[in-house]
Amino acid sequence: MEKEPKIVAFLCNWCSYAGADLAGVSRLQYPPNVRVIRVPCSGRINPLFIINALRNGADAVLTSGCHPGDCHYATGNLVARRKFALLKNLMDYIGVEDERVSFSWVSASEGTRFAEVINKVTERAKKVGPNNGLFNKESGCGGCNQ
Amino acid sequence: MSANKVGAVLVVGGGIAGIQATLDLVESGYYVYLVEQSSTIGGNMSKLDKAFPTDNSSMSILAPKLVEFGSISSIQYFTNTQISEVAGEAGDFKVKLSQTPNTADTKVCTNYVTPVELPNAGQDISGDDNGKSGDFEVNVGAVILCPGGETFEADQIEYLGYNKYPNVVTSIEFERILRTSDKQSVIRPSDNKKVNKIAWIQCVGSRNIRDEKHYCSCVCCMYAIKEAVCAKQYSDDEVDTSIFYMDMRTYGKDFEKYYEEARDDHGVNFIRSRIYAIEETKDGSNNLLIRYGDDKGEIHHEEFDMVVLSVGFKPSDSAVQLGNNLGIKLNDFNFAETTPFTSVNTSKPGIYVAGIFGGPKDIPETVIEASAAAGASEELLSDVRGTMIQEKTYPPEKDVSGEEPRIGVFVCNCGNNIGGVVNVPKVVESAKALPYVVYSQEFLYTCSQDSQEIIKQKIEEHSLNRIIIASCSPRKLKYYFQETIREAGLNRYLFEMVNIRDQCSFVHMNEPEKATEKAKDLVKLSVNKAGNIESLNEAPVNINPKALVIGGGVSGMTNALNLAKQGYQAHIVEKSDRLGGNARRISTDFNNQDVQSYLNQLVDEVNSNTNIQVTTQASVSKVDGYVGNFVTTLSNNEKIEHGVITIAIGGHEYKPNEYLYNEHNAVLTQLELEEEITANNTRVKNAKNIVLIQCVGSREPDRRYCSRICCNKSVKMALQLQEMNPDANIYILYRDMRTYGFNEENYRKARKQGVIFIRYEVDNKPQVQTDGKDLKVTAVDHILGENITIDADIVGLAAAILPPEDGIKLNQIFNLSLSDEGFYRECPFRGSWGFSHKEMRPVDFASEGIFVAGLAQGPKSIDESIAQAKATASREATILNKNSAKSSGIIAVVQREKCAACYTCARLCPFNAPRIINYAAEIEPILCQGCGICAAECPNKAIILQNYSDVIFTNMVDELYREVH
Repeated sequence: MEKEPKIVAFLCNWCSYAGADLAGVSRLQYPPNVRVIRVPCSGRINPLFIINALRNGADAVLTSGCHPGDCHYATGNLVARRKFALLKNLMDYIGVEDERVSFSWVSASEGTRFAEVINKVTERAKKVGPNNGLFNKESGCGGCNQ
Repeated sequence: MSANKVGAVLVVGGGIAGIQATLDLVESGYYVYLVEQSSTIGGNMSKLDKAFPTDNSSMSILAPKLVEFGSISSIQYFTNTQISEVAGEAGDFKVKLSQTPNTADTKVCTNYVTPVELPNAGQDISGDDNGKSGDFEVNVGAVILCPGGETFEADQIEYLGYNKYPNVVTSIEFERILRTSDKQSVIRPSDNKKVNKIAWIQCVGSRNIRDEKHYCSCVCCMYAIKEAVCAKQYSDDEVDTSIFYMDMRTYGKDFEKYYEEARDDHGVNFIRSRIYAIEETKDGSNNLLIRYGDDKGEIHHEEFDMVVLSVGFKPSDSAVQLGNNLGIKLNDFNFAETTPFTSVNTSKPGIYVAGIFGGPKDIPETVIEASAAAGASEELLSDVRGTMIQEKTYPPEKDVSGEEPRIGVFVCNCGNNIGGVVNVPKVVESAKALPYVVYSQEFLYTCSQDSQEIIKQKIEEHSLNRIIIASCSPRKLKYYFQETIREAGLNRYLFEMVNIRDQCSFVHMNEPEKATEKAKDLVKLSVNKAGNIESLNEAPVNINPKALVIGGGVSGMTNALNLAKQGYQAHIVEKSDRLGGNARRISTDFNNQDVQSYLNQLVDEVNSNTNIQVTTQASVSKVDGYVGNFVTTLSNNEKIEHGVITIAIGGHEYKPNEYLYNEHNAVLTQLELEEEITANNTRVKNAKNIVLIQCVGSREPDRRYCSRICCNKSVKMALQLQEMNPDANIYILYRDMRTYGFNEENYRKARKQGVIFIRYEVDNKPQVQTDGKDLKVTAVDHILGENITIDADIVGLAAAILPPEDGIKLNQIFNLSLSDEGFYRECPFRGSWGFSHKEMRPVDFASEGIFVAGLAQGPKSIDESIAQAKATASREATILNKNSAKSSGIIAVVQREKCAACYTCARLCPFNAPRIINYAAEIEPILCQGCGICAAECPNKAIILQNYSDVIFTNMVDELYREVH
């Protein structure tokens, strides 16, 4: 049997976590592969959390906050976005597949969108296959062809 | 007024107004009964997709407010309940309520738009009393009416085709289409096909003489623009959107920019027109053909996929009946009438109105009125504040520091909601095997009262020092369970909640095994976290019960007086030599009420109130401290210690460069003309031709805002001038007449009485010329398309309202946020991660304890300034009524030895909480909102967000993947 991906998701308390709650209240069905960790704000997320999850073998990591302009703390998601843009570059550089690290904005009223995001993230994780360890890939460093 | 006042208030209506009024009142020490006639709270706002002009999601503003409801013990709320009878007088009302039995299943709220469930009858959760049914009585000191409004029944106007053609929908129905859209396309009802061309029809049931809805509904222009932009944004394909309108009334703060951006950046079409008919096309496509006349009178036909009717507001039948039952005065359109210069007082003392029942308005104005009504009630009931509220006592807190974690895990079946999918016994079993877990059990309903007793008992029995509840969303019941563990002597932060329902059983209904695995993992994560969390202290801060009010105009005085009557001290600092501000120059308001006699009375009251101190000819030169403990130094070196600050420094009138102002002495600004009217000046009285020109300095590239009140004011002055000299010809040259709300009545009256309205285009403005003696005004008549020239005796210019002159200077002291134009920018949407009530705050700033009222925040009328000043007082009272306040426990703390004083945290914090003191950052606990931005950004990781530290999160993930390795 194909091994199911196990995905960790950091959701901000005010928008994305609430969007996930709404998906539940609306009984939208989505794949059961995601383990949610609630954070106060996407601005709280240290890029280390994402790298640590990948290092531990997470098949994918999702980070989701309020839409730009919607942040409960005014600017937390913008601060987050800045960091994530940088992290995305780093991931690319060290050869982590694009499919493993996702970012999204989901508001408290977007239950449908939350379910879609989870569908997509799970699909992408399945497509890229299991994470066999971030720093011991068989093919060496994917970013620099060595 | 009754001698035996009651320290409780009845709030009627559970929409955003009712919620805001309730939260303000309970925070200020009053008991609240909230009555809602439907089965859920949330009101109209919960039906919206986004809220203009910020385009924030409506639910993300509303939901946190709803969550708070379940957590406050001094609210009792009754759904499905109506008022049947009111007896008594201000201060002591006896109100009979009748509740219909609740047939709806409120246990699980399947309502799409209300993600927050309300605790219901069977569960006996604090504050709720829905178990009652039948008639009962409550005793209150004041009543606040916020029953909201309904939208106009569009099928009453037959030619619009509503209820006849499936693709003609109302705006509120369109909100639902937007809310449920997949954000890739907008779907129309008839055939679920993507739409590519949508029309909005404005003023459906507003400004409508035939249906006796003469008033303007205020919000439809803005929501139509919002919906048109959303429709474009939610569609992958190009969508053509057109708004058919009479006047674009984007008069509110930042609304004009919103309009311009929709038109110029998003490409929304705006068509000034009159609609003749909407019919389906004959080809069976269910498309719609709009027949309309443009402003030259030419007739056009255009086909659309879908038509949205921008329906106006009206009071609901039940609200009208309620008003009649209470014996309050309703206006011609059945909205509640307010008494002059109070903005929230009904004709009956002790009964206040807020929100749409007092007249159509948008969400921020509704919230302002709700706070203002709370402020007015607090003024009435100040001597019985706190008498109905019992301070809850808790057993002494156990010191668990240094103890090894002893974790108790309680897993909920939620009836069948969780247990029907997730194998709960297995989850319990796996929890027992986890490190530090000493006890675990399942409950049918963890939230029932019995379960609370058992949890407390188990805490005792097994010396548990960390509690985990695996049930529904922490957003809903966290506070409730935290109360339980506090009652068992545990610090409330020694608590974690796992969501195995909304985010597990509900969404994996067909995969019970995988859902069980997920539930086990989620519990495992939580247990790991619980091992690392600690008791947190909530830092106490003393509150100085005094307000500093900067600015002695109507706003400042109203604010100070309301606070003074509530028993707090207020100190007004006024820059000029006397109180009164801009209102000194105004004769009457838009309802023809005498402003000067009101103002004199207000000044007398302020001067004679012993709680108010006034310093004139002084300004603020320095402010130190923070909420509760500010120390302000004035320009005369006087030092004032106070707890909160009201900024009410007003605004001023633009001195035009255009239209020969300053060059010809018969060209006057609005205020100057008003002064001449008041003085009954002969040149005004004998003038034959008077021309009033609108939008002078407003809605211009360097001032992209509408000054809001000038249309109303010009219309009022036109009527005044006509009264002075019935033979005078009065012309108003305008771009859009923005006589919003009930001001539309004056506009109608002016037209009827022969005031001539000529519209001009912004690129073809009127010309004012002089030969040195006489004035000639030339404009293009928008109907004839030809130039007309008026020999004007007087030209009145509706000059823009400018931001306060001292705004920028003062702001160097406060460091608050100013809009591009220089008005103070309120901070409507934010809140605390911890336990406090800080949502949706249109008079608050991001900096705690500082508030704004009046023109300093944006152009507004006297009544609107009064409402805002009272709202500000109400918000301030929520702070001032406490001797001491507590910070949240979830705050960021700095490890001094790691801090390099790099200022990263100080720059990024939205709340100005970190300061650098002695070469290291310090975070002021009371200001910290617990977002953790600083903790994530700190380059040296010197900052820790308590109970949300880096170590906690990395450990959780390590634990989650332990088996994978």
